[in-house]
Amino acid sequence: MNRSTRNQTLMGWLLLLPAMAIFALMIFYPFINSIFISFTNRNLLYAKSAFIGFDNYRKLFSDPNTLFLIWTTVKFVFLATLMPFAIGLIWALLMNQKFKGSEFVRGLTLVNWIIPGIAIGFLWSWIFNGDYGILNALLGKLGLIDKNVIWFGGKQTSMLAVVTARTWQMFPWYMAFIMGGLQGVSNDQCEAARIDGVNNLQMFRHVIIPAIKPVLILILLLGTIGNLQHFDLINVMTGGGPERATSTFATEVYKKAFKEYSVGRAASLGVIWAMMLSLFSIFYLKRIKED
Amino acid sequence: MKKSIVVFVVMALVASSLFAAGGAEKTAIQQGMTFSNWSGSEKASVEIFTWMIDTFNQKVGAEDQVVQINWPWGETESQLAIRAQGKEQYDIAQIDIRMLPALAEAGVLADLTEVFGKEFFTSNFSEGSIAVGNFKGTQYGVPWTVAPMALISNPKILKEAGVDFPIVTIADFERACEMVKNNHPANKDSNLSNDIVAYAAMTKESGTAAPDLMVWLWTFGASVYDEQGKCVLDSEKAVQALTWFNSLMQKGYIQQAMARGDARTLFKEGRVAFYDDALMSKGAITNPAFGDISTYAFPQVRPVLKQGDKPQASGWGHLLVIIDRSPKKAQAKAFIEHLISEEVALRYFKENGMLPSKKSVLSNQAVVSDYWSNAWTPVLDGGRLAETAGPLYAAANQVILEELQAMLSGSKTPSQAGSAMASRIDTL
Repeated sequence: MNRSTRNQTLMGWLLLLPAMAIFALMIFYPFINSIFISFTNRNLLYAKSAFIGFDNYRKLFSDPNTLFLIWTTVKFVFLATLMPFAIGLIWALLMNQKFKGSEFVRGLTLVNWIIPGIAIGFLWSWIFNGDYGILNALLGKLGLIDKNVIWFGGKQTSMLAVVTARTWQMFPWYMAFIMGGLQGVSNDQCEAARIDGVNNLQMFRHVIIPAIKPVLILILLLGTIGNLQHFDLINVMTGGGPERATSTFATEVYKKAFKEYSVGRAASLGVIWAMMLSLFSIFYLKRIKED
Repeated sequence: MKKSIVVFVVMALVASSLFAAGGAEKTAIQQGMTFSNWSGSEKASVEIFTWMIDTFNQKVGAEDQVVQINWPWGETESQLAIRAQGKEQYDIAQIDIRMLPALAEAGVLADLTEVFGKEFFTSNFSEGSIAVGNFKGTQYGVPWTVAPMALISNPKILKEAGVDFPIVTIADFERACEMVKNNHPANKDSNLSNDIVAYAAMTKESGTAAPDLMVWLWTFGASVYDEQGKCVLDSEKAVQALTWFNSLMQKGYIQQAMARGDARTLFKEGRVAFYDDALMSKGAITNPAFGDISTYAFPQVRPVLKQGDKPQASGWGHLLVIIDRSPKKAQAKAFIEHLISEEVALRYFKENGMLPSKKSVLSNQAVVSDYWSNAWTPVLDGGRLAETAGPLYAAANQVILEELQAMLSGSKTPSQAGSAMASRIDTL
């Protein structure tokens, strides 16, 4: 290696240093520290903590609520990814048609995604409120219910409320990505298919879907990762209740660490959560590499 | 190349010196005393808290000036505990009485008999108020405003439903709930937006549902823990209390997903006959459209199991504490004395309805002649701190809430819910 190349390499490392320092401080150190804390009885109320081996993990795996937590997390992630994805796909196909005002409607749709999650949580809490919510008032006026439905009182209905809010928040995001994919569909291919006599459904199934498949897979992966990390809407709307029906890893880790102060147990749950997340992240990275 | 490296190193040095300067500035701000509280950041109290602090600061030198530090009520306990472990200066704090056991056990608080002397407490406060700031024989808190929770009823709704008898026993209470549910005109029409909830019992959040349920447990002679500290929510009396509470749900008197904020909103709209709340709720439930508050809000003691039993109540109140490692305990004492002085306490009472706890201020005409405070007088005796108060407060309350919800939804019987509460709390 000559002097100039060596200097260039050194300069490269120097330029990389700030980013690496930030990564080490903000991500790597907290992650390693979390793993370490998960083997202690660290509690926010006390300065001292002790190493307790695998106790936190033992408690976690012997607690029947852990299995239920995995189930509710999977349920939320599945519904909160597929629902906005499906609506986003339909909406993108509609918005891709050139009609008067389509650009305005497209812009308006994105407003949902721009509003902060906390505000959306409060908005939908009010809509679904059993006593003064607009949904019950509407259903009552239409004669569909004869007494108020306590949406946040039932396990299924509270999950429905949370997923609805998340769908409303996220479908514009899916729409935006899918629209990007649709722009790349070849007009020639579509016209050729038309000449061959395909109908709209066949066109969608055999021409459009294969063309935008890479985008669909990527956004489904990203959506899944995002929902596995999602916290604010659930925390505002249900706090994970009733009966843990809407608890996810995110709400449970928060509850354990900042409500119950049991940081050690929260960290052990966080490690399991990170392992789940990393599975999807590997798929995502692999996909990017392939593309 | 060398030039580039020099530029890079200089930039790094400048950046690190900027960080250092930031830290130095922070230390300079905190030269006086700190008063950590949540009320001062709430809209209704911003003005009075600023005035309280300003009037004190005008009397003292620069080194004893009080600076406010605000955080939400829900974060007070953890913030105080975490910051007490660091090196930041913390002197005086407002805490909720239920936070006292956890903070005292964590060693955050100073023993105030060493700061104020025993005489200060016995001559200024009632025995009940002193007890609220005492934990395991040590006086950690000066009572600032103390008044147990009451069952607040709406006399207008009760009258419209035909309830013309006093609510003394739980049988009376159930009869009143039944009449509100079945007889009140608003519950008979088809408009769902004006339906009246007979009893807006807490069923959504652990911090309110568990302590409120405890009062019903005590009413039935049950308790959360026995003398050995074992959870006994599976006892016969506890299951009896749970069965009764569950029957309120089955009869449609109470409902799932009720939080304190919802209950207040509904009460303010004239859509709740009974709910539990503290004295400071006056501001949240006052509705000028209904006229004088005495016509639509009456705080009363919780009904008893049978005539002659002692009514049970959940303790509620705010304490003033001094952080143990504060270097300014004498100055902190002066500030606390300022806050509970007649002039400040009366203004706090007039503007925010916070009942003073100092005997001399309690007997002031302005307090004595106030409807809301007077109506509260029968409730004042005998508020108990939630049994779960302590380091496991949130975890134990969460277990109680989850099992309570399971019972109310029909997933578990009262007996199964009680057993699950006991076994889960014992393994926390």
